Formats: sequence, structure tokens, C-alpha cells
Amino acid sequence: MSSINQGTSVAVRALDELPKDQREVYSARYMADESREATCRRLGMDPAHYDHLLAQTLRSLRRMAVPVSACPAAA
Amino acid sequence: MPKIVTDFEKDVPAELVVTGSRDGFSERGRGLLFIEMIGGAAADLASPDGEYYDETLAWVKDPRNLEAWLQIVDASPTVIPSLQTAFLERPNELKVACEYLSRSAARTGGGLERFMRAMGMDSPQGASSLGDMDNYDEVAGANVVGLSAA
Repeated sequence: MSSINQGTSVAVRALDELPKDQREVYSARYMADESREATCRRLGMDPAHYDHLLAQTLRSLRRMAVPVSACPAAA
Repeated sequence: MPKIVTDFEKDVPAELVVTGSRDGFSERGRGLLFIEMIGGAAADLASPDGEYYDETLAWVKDPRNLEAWLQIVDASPTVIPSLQTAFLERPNELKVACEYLSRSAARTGGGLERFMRAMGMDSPQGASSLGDMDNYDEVAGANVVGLSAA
């Protein structure tokens, strides 16, 4: 596994492990390259709620465990 | 038996080569995710009385976490000490830098190199300063002035 894939595994796992509302914002923003405005329009979401969800999404990602293979000690 | 072609880059017509990331993230998405991840942590650390301060501080202090997220953008682990210092000593400036670079990344698809330079980190092209940010983009504006003066 390349170093990029080790690091990305958390980001990919997020699609399964994030709560549904956070996953929608996450996939739209980082995978579909959809703008904040477009996502709010499509989902009928208030921009302030989008910002809150995005902040919560990033915190959720931080709480996800780093894969052991990405740890220097395991290399 | 037919010969099995293994030199795919040579034999596959250019228009059929898939250049996107296998994991579904574009280079832009990968860079934006990294920058906003770092910016989000900086924002939480900028509020010592905030609900998320303690858990974010613990996250930053474990270099394995930054290591994993730097790998997302394929950056050198040597960046980690500088990034941790910036997190802990000037989270507000780091947050503003991330916000600026996030906007730039949204338009240009880049950002890591500029992020490193903006934070005064060594990069393959050499170290730079926060003041260099205004050489990159027309939206440098007030945020950059604030960073340069810090």
C-alpha cells in the first residue's frame, strides 16, 4: 500500500462511518467538488447549517483512528 | 497464446487513460480536505474555553495523526514539527491561513505548497514567510496583512 493510500484510508472510511448528514456534505465537498452554495440549494439546507455540519464532519474525521499501517512505529 | 501487454502506459491510448485518483478524490479534493482538516483543528485550538479544545489538543500532540493527514497530500513528515508548533503557538494565524488557502484551493486545485510557504515551513523550493502569501493570489487582502504583521 502506498503512503498516499495509507493516509487516505481514513478519508475513504469516512464514507461508511460518518453520520448520514455529515457524509452528504463530505462527499459533495471533497469528492464531487460541489460548491457550498450548490449543495445548500440541492439539499435545501441553510448555509449556516452547512458550515456547522462541515465543522462537525472534520471533528468526526479527527476522532477516527489512524490506521496502524500509517503509524511510523509500524513501518 | 496472445502476448500479454504489461506496459500499460505505453500501449493504452492517451484518451483512455484514467488520470483521476483511484480512491475517488481529485487532487483538488484531496488538497482541500487536508487544508480544511488542519484549519478546523486550528479553529478549535483558537478557543481554549471551547468544547472541543481538549480533544483537539490531544489530537494535535500525537504526531501520528498529522502524519496520516500529511500522507493524504503526499507531504514530507518533516513538516510535522513545524505544523505542530504553528498549531500550538499561533492557532488563530493558522486558521486564517487555512481559510485563505481553502479559498485558493477551491479555485486553483492546489494549495499544499502555498500552505507550507505561508506557514514558514521548509519546502522543496526552500522556506518562505507569511508575507509571501500575497504573491500568489489577488484575494490575499486583509487576512494576509494580518498574518504578515503577526
